[in-house]
Amino acid sequence: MKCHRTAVLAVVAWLLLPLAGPAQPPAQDDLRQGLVALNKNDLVHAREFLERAAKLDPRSAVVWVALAQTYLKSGQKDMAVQAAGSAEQFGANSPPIQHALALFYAGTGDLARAAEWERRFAATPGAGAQAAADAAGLSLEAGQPEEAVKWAEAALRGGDTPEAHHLVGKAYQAAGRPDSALPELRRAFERAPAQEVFLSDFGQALLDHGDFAEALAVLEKGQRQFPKNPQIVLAYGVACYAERRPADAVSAFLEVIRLDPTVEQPYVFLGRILEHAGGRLPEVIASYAAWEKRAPENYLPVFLHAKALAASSNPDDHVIETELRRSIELNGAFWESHLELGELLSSQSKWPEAARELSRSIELNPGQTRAHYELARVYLRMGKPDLARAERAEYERLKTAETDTGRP
Amino acid sequence: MRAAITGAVAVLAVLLGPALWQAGPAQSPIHFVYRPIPFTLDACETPERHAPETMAGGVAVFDYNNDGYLDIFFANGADIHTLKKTSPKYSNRLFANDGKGHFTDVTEKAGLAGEGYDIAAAVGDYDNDGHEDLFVGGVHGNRLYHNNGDGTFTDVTKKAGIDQPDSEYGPLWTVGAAWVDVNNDGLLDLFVVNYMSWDIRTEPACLAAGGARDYCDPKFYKKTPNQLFLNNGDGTFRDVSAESGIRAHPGKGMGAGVADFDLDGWMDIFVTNDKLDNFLFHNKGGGKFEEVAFESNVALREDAEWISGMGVDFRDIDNDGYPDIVFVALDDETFPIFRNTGKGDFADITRSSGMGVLSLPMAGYSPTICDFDNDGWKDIFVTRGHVEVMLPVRQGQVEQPNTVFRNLGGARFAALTAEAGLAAQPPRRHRGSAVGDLNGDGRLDVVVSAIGAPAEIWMNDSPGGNHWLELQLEGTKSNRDAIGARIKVVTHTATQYNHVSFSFGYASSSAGPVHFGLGPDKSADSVEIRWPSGVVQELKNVAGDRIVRIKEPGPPR
Repeated sequence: MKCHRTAVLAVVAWLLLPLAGPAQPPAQDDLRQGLVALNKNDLVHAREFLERAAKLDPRSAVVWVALAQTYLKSGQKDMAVQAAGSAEQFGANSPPIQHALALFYAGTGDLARAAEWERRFAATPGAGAQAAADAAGLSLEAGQPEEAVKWAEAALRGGDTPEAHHLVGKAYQAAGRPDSALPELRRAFERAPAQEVFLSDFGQALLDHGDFAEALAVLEKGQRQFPKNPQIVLAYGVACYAERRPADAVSAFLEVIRLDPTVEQPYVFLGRILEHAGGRLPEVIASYAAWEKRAPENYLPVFLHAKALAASSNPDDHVIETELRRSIELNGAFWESHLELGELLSSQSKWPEAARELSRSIELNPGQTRAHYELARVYLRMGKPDLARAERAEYERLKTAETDTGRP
Repeated sequence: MRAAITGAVAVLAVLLGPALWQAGPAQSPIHFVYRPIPFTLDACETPERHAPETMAGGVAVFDYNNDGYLDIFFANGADIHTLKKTSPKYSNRLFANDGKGHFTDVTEKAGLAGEGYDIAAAVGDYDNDGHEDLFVGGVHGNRLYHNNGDGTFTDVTKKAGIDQPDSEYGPLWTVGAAWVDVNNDGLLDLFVVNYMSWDIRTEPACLAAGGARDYCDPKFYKKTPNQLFLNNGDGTFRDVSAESGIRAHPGKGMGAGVADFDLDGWMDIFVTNDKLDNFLFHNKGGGKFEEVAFESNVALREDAEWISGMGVDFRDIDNDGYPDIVFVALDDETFPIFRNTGKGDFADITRSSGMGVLSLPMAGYSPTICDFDNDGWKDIFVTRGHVEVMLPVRQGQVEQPNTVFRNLGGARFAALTAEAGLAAQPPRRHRGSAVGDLNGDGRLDVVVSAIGAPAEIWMNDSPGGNHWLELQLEGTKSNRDAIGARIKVVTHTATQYNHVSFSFGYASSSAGPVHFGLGPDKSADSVEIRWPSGVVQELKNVAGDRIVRIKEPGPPR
């Protein structure tokens, strides 16, 4: 529903035209002319006619909802909301007004109210499966998963379509019922495999469910079918990694960067699997460098660039240190930059400086294990065995807690 | 897009798993050919996936009958519920080598069929009578077999006193052992590596993806201590685990390597642990040890992650005279290499040696450091295979071929698998391995076990025609096996080092002569031996391409 909302709002006027009849006769002409003007986006005249109609027939919900729409399009949101309030007052039980109000509130971004009105509309006899689907879609967007499930299931009862299964699947996902979601998304995909969004959502659901082998099969085909869809290629990369094909994962993430260099995730993913980059490490480094150039004030590309340089076979410590320090200048609160810098300084036997950076890293993220361990080593070399012991004990405590949680 | 990508991030965050790629030259300087041997390792795999089922498979190569040819011993499993060898299929096996490539099963005559769920094999002449004895460790039961010198062995476990249940931890699960003279009294002592506390009645049920039963992560089991038994010299041993300082460090031991890492004359012990810090027991002399892994930089890899430490070997790989440490782990964990700096600690050179990227997709069990192409640089043979259950979907990753990592000089490695002929057999869940020149051609061969599959002999037919030298040491004041003796070989082109230790890899023992590749040199200008007794012996102009037997000079013990 979301992607069609703007277009839908444009036809609100047409939606309301059949309702122009019930207005008081003197207001009827103004209402009609107002709706025609609104439809032509002639907002000045639409407002003139509709305000006059409202004066002539102040209890006409149709007039008020059309006026609300006009105000909204004119950028006068407060007046629009006020007009919508009047429409609610006089037309709350009218299905077309309910539907129009849903569209209006969706346009204002008040998705909860939009969903609520669409559900009232969908509950009226004869509203049909599409109304239920719209109610479900708006409820999903409004963050009301249980309502979404209820109306998506109603939509499915009204018509066994791939779209309905997809909607039910998405609603189940939102409601935290992945086991129920997966078969619905599977049905949608199997019945309409050429639908990009069905493939994408099914592949992602398989990943979330841990069905990596099937996810890989679906997404491998999908990325050939939709090679320009960064979402599918990205998910394919994740599936490759899950199925122990890290070289393909690296290729996929690099491809996502090529398709859409503004998406952050593939850069972050690559940063976590640099050891698998192998012969493609220079491309990874180049992609970080390009990102860094595009976003010079963003600490993340600077940090990742440094990390990738450090993973190369002949790392230049000076360049890496410069990059890490710049990353810290841009964002001193990012613990990983301090950790990497601390480890680099430690490898250069610059113990006090290393201790400072590692301590700062721990301060920013006390739950990480690696900095505690490295700091223990540094303290030992600084001749501070008690501090070293304490850091190592903390490392072991955290590590044990990290690994001993959970059951078989 | 954003929401789905966030989902993908969440999925990736719980992954960080494995991979697959391979490298190597077209013409391999190291090459093996497969030779079968009629032994199948039966670990009694059950649908319940009890932990010991995936840990079996020790191998020993030693000359049990002193005929000059290296024989082969395989440890075997048992019924997992009773821990008894209830069927002949669980029998341990001893194969006698006729020196011509023929192996004859002599298990029954030798009396080595065993009784329990056996895993580890450790060879050592504990009574210095000139006949190699055999320690066999396993699940809740260890055995010491005395070699009678007539082709038979006697079970002397009870007399030796090495198989008492632990008063605090109960019955122990042994996966490795090393014979080593820790106090330089000329008698081999026994270090026993224990894995974790296991009881079939209380073992948790662990599930793999898809709901099938799988082997549990070690975090679901408790730590147990390793043990040290001091040889009294009368066929009995004294448990000095506590007083030596060993017992104070319980872990989940998987392998032990022995070497004098700081060249102070006392043999030290490195122990890999499964998903815990490793141990480096520094021998302070007088039978006392201190655990110094952290201080020495060998407790963990440089990224401070707990990994699945498996088998280990502890030898000099860069010919600087200081023993280095190589151990293996599972896929995505690499096969770490710790280079001995010669200053009392180690540096993690896994990445700079090339081993990091080469081993990342591999799961290993048993590494052995030996010079397989006789070029003067020790290579690393790794038996590969995963611990996981063999689900169809994972088959390609659980079963793996073996790989030899060729030392390119210094400590840079190239991985050779198919190039080295090691893809000639199907990938398996390989486990233990032992090394020795089985056919006397001067090239080191490898014997490998595999769970539920025929054992493999990999006969070394590497090209190149490099020369070699094998030294068979006999201690007189020192222990007769000369375990702990440090050897320096100087040739026209190189200087190299090794030491006598039969403890190689996972659960296994290689008790042949110490092997040196001489490269183009037909002889060694000098051979220097530093015996555990402190005696230093030097031989000049030692001709190569032969086994040289060297007896420790001086008065006997």
